[in-house]
Amino acid sequence: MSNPKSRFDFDGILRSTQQRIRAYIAGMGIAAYEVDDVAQDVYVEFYKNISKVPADVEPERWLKGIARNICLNYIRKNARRGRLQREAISSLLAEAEVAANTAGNAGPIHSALDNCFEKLPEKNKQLLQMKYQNDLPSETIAAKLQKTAEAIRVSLHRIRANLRECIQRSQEHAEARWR
Amino acid sequence: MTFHEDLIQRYVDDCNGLSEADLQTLFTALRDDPQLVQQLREQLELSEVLRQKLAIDAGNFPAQIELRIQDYLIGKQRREVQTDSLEQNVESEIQRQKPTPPLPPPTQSPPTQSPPTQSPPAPTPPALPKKSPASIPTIAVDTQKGKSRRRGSFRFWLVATLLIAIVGYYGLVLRGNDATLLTATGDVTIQRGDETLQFLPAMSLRSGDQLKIGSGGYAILQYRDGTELKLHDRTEIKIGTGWGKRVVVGEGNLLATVSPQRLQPGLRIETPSATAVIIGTELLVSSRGEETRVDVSHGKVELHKNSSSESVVLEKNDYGVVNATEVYKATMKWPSNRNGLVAATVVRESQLQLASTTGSQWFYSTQSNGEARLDPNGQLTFGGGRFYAPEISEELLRACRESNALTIECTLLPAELMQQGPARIVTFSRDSHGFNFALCHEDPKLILKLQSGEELRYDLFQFADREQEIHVVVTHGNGETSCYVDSKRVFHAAAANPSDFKNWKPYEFVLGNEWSVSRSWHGSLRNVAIYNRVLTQSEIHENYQQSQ
Repeated sequence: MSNPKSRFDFDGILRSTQQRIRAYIAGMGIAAYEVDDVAQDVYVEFYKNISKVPADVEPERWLKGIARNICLNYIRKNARRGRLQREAISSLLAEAEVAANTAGNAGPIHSALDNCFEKLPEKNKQLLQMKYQNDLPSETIAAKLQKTAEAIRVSLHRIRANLRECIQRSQEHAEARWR
Repeated sequence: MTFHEDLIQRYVDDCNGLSEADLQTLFTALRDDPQLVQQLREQLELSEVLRQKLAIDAGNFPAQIELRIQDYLIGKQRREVQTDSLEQNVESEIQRQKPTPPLPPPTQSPPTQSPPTQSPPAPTPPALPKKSPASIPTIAVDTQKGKSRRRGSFRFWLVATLLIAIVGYYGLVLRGNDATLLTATGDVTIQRGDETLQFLPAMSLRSGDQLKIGSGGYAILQYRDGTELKLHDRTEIKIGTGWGKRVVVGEGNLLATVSPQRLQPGLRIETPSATAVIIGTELLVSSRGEETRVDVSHGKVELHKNSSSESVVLEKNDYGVVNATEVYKATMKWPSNRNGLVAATVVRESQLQLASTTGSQWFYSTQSNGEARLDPNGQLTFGGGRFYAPEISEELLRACRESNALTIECTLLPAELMQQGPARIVTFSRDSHGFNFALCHEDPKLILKLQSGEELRYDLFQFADREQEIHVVVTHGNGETSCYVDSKRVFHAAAANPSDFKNWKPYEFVLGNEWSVSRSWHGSLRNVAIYNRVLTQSEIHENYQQSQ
């Protein structure tokens, strides 16, 4: 799969960046079930034009540029309602990316997440599993747990916020050890 | 929690789920507060990272990319070969059209007698006649070599093109069975071996996967070439193994819209009793125990009986039936749209029957009393009597309750413009107080009475001519009601609430009168159909044309 015309190792780039690029795409407001489709388009586009990537630009930065354009086009073409608003929100989210300090930036995010996830109370783990492993809508989770969908969304929001803080602490701690 | 926080949480939960007004509010809030944007972005990204960690299929991503890149490379290679081959042909053609220098007479230097050492070395690049007119004999020999080299090159490219075409063809055929489950609504079970899979939008299905659609559910499968299969409720299918697209239908109904199968062996839909091989068409396959029926809307289909060599070829408007004893086909000129057809009047063995593609039977019998006549062309004339169909009532109730959608179609000519009651033309009711729906005639107006969450009554159309038959279609779904006369929309209304038929009751399906025989309609009626879905305008137009 590697492209002989390029100085880049495509496989290596794919494997080292795909998780962050998919997170970046989700961060642009692409629905979870559409993220992988959009990400595929991004990598195919990158592969097609790999020889055009300037020498002084990091591949991940280039990939994010492609992702940004593809996401905006995707929303333009596919948004079922509120196309203009979705597009405008996406543009705001794209601007915010530079400062974001979660999954969008490089770093051992997944190993930090694993540690933080293990520290969660059991009921929070179960809630995350229902949401992300079983892909259940909040309404269905709410019905199963005899709560409201709003309460489920609030709980998920809090769990994610706690995880983010935990990941940030882990990353800061890891950086401090290398100083 | 603030309103904005709630919006953010709902956006993270499902960014496609917010209304336009909510999106506008969210945008305004985000525009005014960069921290809120930051917070939203972090939540969205972390949500995706959690999905990658926990979702079963999220780890396949690099493999998906490899497939996409391979697809791209195969396509690119094919294009390059085509371009090279074209260039080669053009070059050959230019060479062919150039004046060829005369060859020396065979007696002077027969190629077979020339010692190899005397052969001049091949020039690089090959000399062209116009550049060296003096060296005619050499050029002649060189041209032969050049031709031979071009022939060799041509053969190489021909073989390469053929190989790529063969690899591409078998790639297509072998991968033809890869289907994507676009949507699955309601009670849908996906079984892969011993494992029950959770539905994910646009999930890939493999050979051997089984789908079971429960009551009230439906699912849509799509192949790479755009061929689409809509699986109705109470249907079981299995993605067939082997080459090409194969689907095995255990029980139930499947509507197939098949893209032309130019490079592939065609879609095969198999039931326990029959196999339909489709080259490109739209058809409805219904399987009931040992019996299979295929209704063709467009195109051509071969229908084979599995247990013998019997087969029939079906074309537009045909339907074919395979059962334990026979294979037969018949033509039903109207309606060609039979997806969701709960009942349509047909004349069989001089009797009025109701054809159905949703019910457990293909045909349901009817009865009549009073002054109600059937002529051989299927025209019903009413002068105080009625036709009624006790057997279809249960199916009508079930099918419409599940879909919460309805279409009533008929072609009618009132005997009098002013009728009272309101007089019942087509009704699913008990008496003037108990009804699910009733298409009525009162004064000179066509009226719809319908139970859909609330009791609805609409004046649809005003009759103006007693001489001219009219084709009427009334649709109701998603809270919206429309009426079409001769395929033109004459009425549209939207109710405050969405369609809801859960309060429908087991009443009777009657034509020309009320079940209680107290609301007689005077006139003639033909081509009456009930669907449990909203027909599209193009379908209505097609049915109208076929009714003429």
